[in-house]
Amino acid sequence: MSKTNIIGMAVKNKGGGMVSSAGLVTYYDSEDKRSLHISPKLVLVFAAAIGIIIAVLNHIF
Amino acid sequence: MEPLLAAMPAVRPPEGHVHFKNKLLWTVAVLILYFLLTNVQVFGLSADSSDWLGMYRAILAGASGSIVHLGIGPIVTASIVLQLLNGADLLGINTREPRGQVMYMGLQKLLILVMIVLEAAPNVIGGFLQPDANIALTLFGGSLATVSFLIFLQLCIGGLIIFLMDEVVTKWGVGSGVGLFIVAGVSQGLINGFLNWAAVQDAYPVGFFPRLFAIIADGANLMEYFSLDILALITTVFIFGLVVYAESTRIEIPLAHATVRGARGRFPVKLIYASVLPMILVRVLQANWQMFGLFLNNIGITFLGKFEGQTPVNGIMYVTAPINSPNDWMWWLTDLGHPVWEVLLRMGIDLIVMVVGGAIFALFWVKTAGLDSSHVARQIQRSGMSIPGYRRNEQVLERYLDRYIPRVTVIGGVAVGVLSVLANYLGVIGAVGGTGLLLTVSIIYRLYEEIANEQIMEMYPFMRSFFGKE
Repeated sequence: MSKTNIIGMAVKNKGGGMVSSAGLVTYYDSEDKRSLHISPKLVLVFAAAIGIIIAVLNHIF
Repeated sequence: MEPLLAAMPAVRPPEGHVHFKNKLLWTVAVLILYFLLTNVQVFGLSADSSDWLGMYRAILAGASGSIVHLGIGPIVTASIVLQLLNGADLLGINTREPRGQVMYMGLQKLLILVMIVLEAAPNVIGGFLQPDANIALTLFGGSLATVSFLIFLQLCIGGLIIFLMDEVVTKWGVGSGVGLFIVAGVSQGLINGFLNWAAVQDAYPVGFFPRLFAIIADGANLMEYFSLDILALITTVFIFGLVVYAESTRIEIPLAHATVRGARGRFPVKLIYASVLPMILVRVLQANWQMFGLFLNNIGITFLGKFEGQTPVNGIMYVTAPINSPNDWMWWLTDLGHPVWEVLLRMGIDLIVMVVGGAIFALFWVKTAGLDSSHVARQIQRSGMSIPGYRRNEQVLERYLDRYIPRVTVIGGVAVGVLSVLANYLGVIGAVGGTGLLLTVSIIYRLYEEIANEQIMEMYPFMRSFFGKE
């Protein structure tokens, strides 16, 4: 990729840290220290645990 | 409200740069977990449940009857509502400063949680997801309400899991969770459409390849049983190619930095500037109109047309119904029960609604999402860039951009509208629909661009500051 393109991208991203996925959802990078932070590993473990518990329940009954 | 909004739970953001290999690992882990969850059925669900969101599955992801039944519906709905409210300046939040952005994100999260409950409730109350009488009898002394509540609870937890996994991908992975889940669902539909060996409509399998082999082995008439599948394959490949081509079609506005000599750049105005989202809005509008007709029909008012089950059979409702597959209009293949002029009228109305609606919604969307001339001009101005040969001034920039952005938006909106309608007329592989396919190709293309950027940053760490990260 040429240098010109790279800087072109930089211009786009500098607009307030807004990221948009397929134009569907808006995210801003800004985070507040007050918010309750969850570790990403915990999210995956939680999701897997819920899935396993419900699958086991389905299996038993 | 501010302390509450600022304290909304969030996935911990990474400190510093996440290596591309790790990003890929997080993304793959979430994807695998997502696929596993789509296969876990809600506990206590009766077999005669129906999918209320069936026609939106390709866009909303998730899987019917699984714990991720709601898919990304709550996230997307909350985000669209908030973007529209903010676009109309009804929130009074200034998203140009960090404090406003924190408030906006907090409000978005709060609204997602509300939407999870609001979208889970009709599924249970409306009787679409029904409780299993056996489980009610063995566990709760026959109380169906308790099982219904359990189903509701599982739907909510599933919605919460999707919401958190989306944040994990956005912060630690590649692309966004929402995009990933849409792509996952549509890709699954495509693979299903190619390989499914179950026979549904006739004696032969529905999947492309099993069907081909079965028909040849049987010595049946290829023209009779396979022509629509060939058409679907051609349409699918055609749409893929055309969207990738259109994504890379752009008008590039040259930029130069005012103080850093030699730093030049380009601002790309893409042909599909407004993305495929306007199409989804038009489709949702059409669906709401049909639901309105169905509702009138159910309470005995039929001057707009009668319905059989969920399909309109005559009157205005029939001619305004969108065409979803070749079986809806190819009158020489099957008996549609309607004169040819009515079918043609329906096709014409569908095309006009999508093209005109696509253009209008695209313009509207560009303004709402902050992609219009004045927003872009402000961004470029703030980054210290300007167009060579023009005065370094926001108004000058805006007038220059005004020559391109509105026109490109309308042309892009019309093009995507035509493409979406064509895809539905001719049918695509798997039951993913034209809009779902368009969305998927567009997301994958953007993902590819992002991965390319990532690799440049891995190779040249100093480039990170150019991309506005760290």
